[in-house]
Amino acid sequence: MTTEKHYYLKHVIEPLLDSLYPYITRIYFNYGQLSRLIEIVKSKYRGKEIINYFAIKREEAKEKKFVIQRITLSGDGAEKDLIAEATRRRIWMEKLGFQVKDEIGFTLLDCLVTSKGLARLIFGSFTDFYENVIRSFIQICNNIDVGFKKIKREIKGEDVELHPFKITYPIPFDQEHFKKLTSQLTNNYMLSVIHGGNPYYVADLLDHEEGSSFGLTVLGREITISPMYRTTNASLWKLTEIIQTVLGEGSVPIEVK
Amino acid sequence: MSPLKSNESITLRKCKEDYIKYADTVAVSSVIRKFIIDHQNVGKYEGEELTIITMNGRKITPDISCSYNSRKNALFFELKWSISPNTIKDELLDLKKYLEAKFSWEKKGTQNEHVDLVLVIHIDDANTVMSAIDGLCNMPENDFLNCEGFSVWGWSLSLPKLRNGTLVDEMRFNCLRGKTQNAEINKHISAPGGILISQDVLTHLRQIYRFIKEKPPIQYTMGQLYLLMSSLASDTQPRRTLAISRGLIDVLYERMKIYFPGWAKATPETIQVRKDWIGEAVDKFEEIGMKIIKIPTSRTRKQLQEFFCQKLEKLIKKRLKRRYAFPKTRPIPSGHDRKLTDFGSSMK
Repeated sequence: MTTEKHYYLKHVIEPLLDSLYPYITRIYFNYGQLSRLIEIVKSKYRGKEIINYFAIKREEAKEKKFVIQRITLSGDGAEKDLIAEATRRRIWMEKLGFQVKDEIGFTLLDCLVTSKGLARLIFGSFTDFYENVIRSFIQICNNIDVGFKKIKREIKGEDVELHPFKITYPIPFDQEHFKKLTSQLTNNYMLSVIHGGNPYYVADLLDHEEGSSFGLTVLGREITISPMYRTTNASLWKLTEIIQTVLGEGSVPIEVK
Repeated sequence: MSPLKSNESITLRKCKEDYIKYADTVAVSSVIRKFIIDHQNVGKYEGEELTIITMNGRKITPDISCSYNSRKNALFFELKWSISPNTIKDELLDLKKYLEAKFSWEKKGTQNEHVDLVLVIHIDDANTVMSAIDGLCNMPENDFLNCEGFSVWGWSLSLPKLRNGTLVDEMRFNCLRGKTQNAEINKHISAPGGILISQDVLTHLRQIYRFIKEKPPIQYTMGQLYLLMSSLASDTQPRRTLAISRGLIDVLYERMKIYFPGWAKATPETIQVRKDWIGEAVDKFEEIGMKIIKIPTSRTRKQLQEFFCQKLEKLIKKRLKRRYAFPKTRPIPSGHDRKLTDFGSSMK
């Protein structure tokens, strides 16, 4: 918690938190999880007016090249627009902003939540913010953490059962995406690419800093992360963040209550 | 992006190709297992790397075993990840033991009537294998290569096909030679395009095991050990360091055993063979100068197979240089050169 300005947050606090991996892990909320957050907040402020907006990046194909555009989805149907965008294109959630107003239109709460887990109170009571927003945020994190714990190898008698993690996308990948993925993974992992994405992608990954290892496959519109010799929740948060940062946000099978 | 580069030496390229080929053959073994389990009309899946003792006391361990016709018939699959023209003939002749095997699935059960054997190879090795078979099958003692029951299948990753608007790679099996007595499997393999396998095998099911019965190339074992040892180092608090030594072999095998098919029923001989692979790789780590593994590991943009293949190539070059080096001769000190006439003048 800090009262510092955005610059200090971006250039001091965030790099510090990043450097503390694996002891401290940054979370990553995709569009589905942030939509769920606004649903929970709305249920907590039943009867009040909530104006929310989503700032997203979306990929546009122009003359055989991919261009990233920034747009804001706001108004009554923002959530529906967001889902529609996510099913049509590759998108990245940047932030969710919302204002809670009372019956006479007086603003009770004004805050921002980013996909990287930063929650900012612009106006309103901190207690309300903590109780209704931060706690909901933590609840979603816990749900994802519980889901990640199920990603493991299990020995059942003489058989080994593998419980992988899958991210599904509405649109297929291009060669360009695989190049970016390999480059980004090489920065963070010791990599062994078996098939480089034509369009089948298979690689083994070893987390430099944490020692966890995974098998990664991309086939069609589905990414599969299979646990290998060691898998921790911290390393799964990191890997899902990297994949979704490069390839866009997909739908994950973890149910967020 | 292809993991293989054009400007590298043949040894390095071959080394990396072998790594990939072995990893893919492990996937092929998962494919066949899944196929048998899913198609129960083909037969009953009996196990992977199952050690069978024949009536004459011989032990045979096919890669994948299944039975059909009320367990009277056996269908074995034998996988080869790499074919060398120098050894292929011996390897083919060694297959005779499977086709001739008389055994029972249960201790006091009835003896089998017939054995089918399918040799599974990569499509790239088809020519080598086919010409070796053609060379051998003319001899009467090698008649088993012509018999009904011996078949050769080639596997390949075919060109991506459009499925529901998405390009998807496909793994296919095609019959290259012969057929089995199992009518169901013959029907599947002789269908146009051969056997097309389900997608889940290409994603997570290929990750269940990391080895097959055949010995992996050393760089592959080293790669797998590196992943495992990094996880062990990470658990070693507070220094997160692991010294690589032969003393670790048993610990490494214990942690690694579930990555070998048929691990639960492995015989002491099989375990020893696998420990030998691990021991060999541990020795190689020492030879290339990797004595400890520390978390966080040193960063490299090289891929795992490239990293080990380059180290191994360097080691080979160093050894060759040492073997063929000219014996060292003492150079003549230049400042003390004297002409022969100088001696004559000094005598005056």
